[in-house]
Amino acid sequence: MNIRNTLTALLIGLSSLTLNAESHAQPRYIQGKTLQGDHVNTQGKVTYLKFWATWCRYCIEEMPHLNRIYNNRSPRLEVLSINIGLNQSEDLVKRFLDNNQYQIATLFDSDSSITRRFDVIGTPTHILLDEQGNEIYRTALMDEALQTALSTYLAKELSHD
Amino acid sequence: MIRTLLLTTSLLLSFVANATDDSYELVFIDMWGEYIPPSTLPTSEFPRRFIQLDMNVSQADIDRYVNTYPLYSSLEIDKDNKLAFQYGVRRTPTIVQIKQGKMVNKIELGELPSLPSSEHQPIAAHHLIVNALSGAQYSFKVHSKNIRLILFSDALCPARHLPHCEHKAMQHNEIRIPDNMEKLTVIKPFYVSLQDVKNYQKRLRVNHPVLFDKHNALFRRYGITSLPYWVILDNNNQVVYRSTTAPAQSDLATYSSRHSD
Repeated sequence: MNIRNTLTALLIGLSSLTLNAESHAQPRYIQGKTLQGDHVNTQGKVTYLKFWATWCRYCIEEMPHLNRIYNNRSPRLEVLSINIGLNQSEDLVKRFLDNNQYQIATLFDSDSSITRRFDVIGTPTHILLDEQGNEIYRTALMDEALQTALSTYLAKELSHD
Repeated sequence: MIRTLLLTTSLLLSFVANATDDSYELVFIDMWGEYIPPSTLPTSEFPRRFIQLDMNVSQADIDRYVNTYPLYSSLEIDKDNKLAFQYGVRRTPTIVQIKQGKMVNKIELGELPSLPSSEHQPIAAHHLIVNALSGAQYSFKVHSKNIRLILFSDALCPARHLPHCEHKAMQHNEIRIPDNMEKLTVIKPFYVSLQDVKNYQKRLRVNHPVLFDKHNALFRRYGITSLPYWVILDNNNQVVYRSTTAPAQSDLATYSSRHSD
């Protein structure tokens, strides 16, 4: 009985170690093709990610501001929006971006792999990563701390928007 | 001995029978989407488990939902969306049929939502006249008799996107204001009804007027992007203070003396 319990405990321990090792081994950068048709690779770049969906009212409210950030970013900052893909389609998201003339580079997370890799369980979620892919800041709504952190990578007229 | 053997055999047979008949259905829903009564789903001979995607939900949300829709009493959150990922669920509702631990069928019933069209409509002048729960009207387009100390908040509190919202609501309740200042709470209209706003007032024991900003006009006019958030407006409805932290009690007299006329 004791041996069985010990083996069970060992197995559980090993499986949890494996899970942890997997989650830590996940790269904290993103490679892929945007809905605009461009290849992106955030490795080695300070990166601002926004996770969103068209059914999320808070997300939609923030989009004009996000688009301004995208259009005024410095070359040192990668700005990427990630549509989480739940109850969404590529065509729907493209139509939304086109209808509103948003230029923001957007990835469609067709299988939730990016959303899960960044442990996103809410929309919107804003994440700022340093060059090594370490998370500097995370927030649900676009708050002042995020805007301050981003301001060094933006044109002056937007840094206090 | 024979009795024990028979009992063991019977138990084993029962186990095997259960194992081979181990069929059930997972029904993935999104409680923030359109309500779909379980009775309108295709009928099934197998037991069903209702699963909520782990996106924008807390256990408190589930409890409220089940309270409103008891037919979903077995609803549980798919922690970290593990099941949804495992079975490739991308729409709601989706029925996943499981037999002997394996998916044998997947039925997507949901339609894609229509695109939002009204989020960025211009603010109309009459949207700046906002009703309190008491029925009193507050205008934000003309000169105001009083300086206004406002907490912009959300009736979904507590929620992931509203850090420390309960504490801040209580803090707002306790601020002592000068005679020429009025204290208000303004509630965002997203995903909430008038009843939700009333519940917020009651739950957080709000002791001053609560305004329901039905057209999101005040939030947009004053550029409130994070919540909860404090603003002080002068008599001309111009911002003299804005922050995620409450103004210091000792500074309120200074703000209240800033008449702009």
